[in-house]
Amino acid sequence: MVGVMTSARPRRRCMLGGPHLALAAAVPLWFAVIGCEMPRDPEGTWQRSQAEAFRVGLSSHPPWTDLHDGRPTGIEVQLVRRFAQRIGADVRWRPGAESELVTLLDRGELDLVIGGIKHTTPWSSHAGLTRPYADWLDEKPVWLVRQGENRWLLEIDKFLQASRPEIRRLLEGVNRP
Amino acid sequence: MTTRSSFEFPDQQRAALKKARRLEWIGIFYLLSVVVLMYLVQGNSQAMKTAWLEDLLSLVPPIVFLIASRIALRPPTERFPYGHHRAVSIAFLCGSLALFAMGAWLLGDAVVKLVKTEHTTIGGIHLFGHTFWLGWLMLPTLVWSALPAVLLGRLKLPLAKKIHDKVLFADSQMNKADWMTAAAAMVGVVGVGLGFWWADAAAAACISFSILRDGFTNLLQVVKDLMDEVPWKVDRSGPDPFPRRVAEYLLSLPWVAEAQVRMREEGHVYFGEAFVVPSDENHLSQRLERAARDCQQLNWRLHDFVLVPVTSLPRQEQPTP
Repeated sequence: MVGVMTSARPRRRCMLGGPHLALAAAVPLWFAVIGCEMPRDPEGTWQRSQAEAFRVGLSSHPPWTDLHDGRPTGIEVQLVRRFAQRIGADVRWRPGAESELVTLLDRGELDLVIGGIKHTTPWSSHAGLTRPYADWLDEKPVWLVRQGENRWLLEIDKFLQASRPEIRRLLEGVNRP
Repeated sequence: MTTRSSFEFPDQQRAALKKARRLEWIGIFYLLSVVVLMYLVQGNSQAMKTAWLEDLLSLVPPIVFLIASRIALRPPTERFPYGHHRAVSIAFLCGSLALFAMGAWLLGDAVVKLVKTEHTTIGGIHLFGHTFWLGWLMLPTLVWSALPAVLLGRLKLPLAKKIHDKVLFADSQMNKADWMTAAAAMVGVVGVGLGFWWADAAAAACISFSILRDGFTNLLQVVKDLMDEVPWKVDRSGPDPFPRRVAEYLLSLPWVAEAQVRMREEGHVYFGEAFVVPSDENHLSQRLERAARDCQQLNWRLHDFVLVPVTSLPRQEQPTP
């Protein structure tokens, strides 16, 4: 009679069958594919920088940034050059005052602004801030990127994080005021 | 003739109240964990900021409930002869006003961001030796802000109906709707991740609109309460048929020729009076006393009930246009 009983019992529909299973598999897959690309830049800064060049505004602030006969020097300048080298891009420098550079950044005419900017900078409502790249210092310096260019910001953050030992070495080589 | 029950709640309701208080305590600790986590990962995201403020504001109803349900149970005093039931409404008024104002402000904030085409910056975070996008931390935090809340809301709802508590009801409704806030914020974060700068502010606008709506419905409700509207069912599905039942009961008494009942809500309970025209004035005092007591037996909510014998009924109220 066992067989009768089993056949009499209505077969329960598997909750994870058919369309459910497809959905359960598709959602994580979609996230995995999209996820690798997230975040993307609304204005495509990261892709453009890799393909050609990026534009850096620098305000003179030794020892972080300085100009010698029109040539940019300083710890941050060295770091930017190293970053450009790593991603295979050219750098176009644009010296200026901080406020002027932030306006250009906001308008999309620059991609990055450097110059020993503190993490408490009042520009934070006009620009995206990297994480402090030398957080053992009191001024916790940061770089400014164009707002919303999140991939670009993340790649710079990754580079700065990975360069910490080098930043320490560069800092030991200078006499800071 | 007047009677007043000595306790706010019968035993069954008192057990429900105890359970509700425990749930509200659990809810407060859970919300605190959400508020801290959301604060840590909110970055520059307007949607996250809005969802965070909503979570912060959803602490208000549980706190109001815990304080007010204690004050409301205090017995009447010489200075407050009607008891302290209105404490619930006053606390609720403050809470819904906060919700309403904050919702309006956040909606304005989000719209300004959209109009100014402000691009949301969500950067990296360094954890456990890796630098990764902060958005990846926002998503699980938002899940944590939604799932337990929905469960808590579901548990609170039947208790709110049982003890006839509008604060608890509003609280459970807000908890239940929390997943929509989280879902909207998640869409905003993922949208930013995909490179749509407006996704964040648009999500923030949706969330603040829901805060504004919550505040408005609650405000409307509590203002009506304070204006002594006739009792409504807790879930606002219609007027409570109870006053009519009392009138029918009074009319069914052989010594009553005409009767008219009016009631209002104060917190969890009803206050009211009935005017009766007796057809037979024998033993009137005893009959009134008994009728008032019997009316209160009909429902625990009828807390303070006055029966007044009159020679003719007072003017009938105008029906609401």
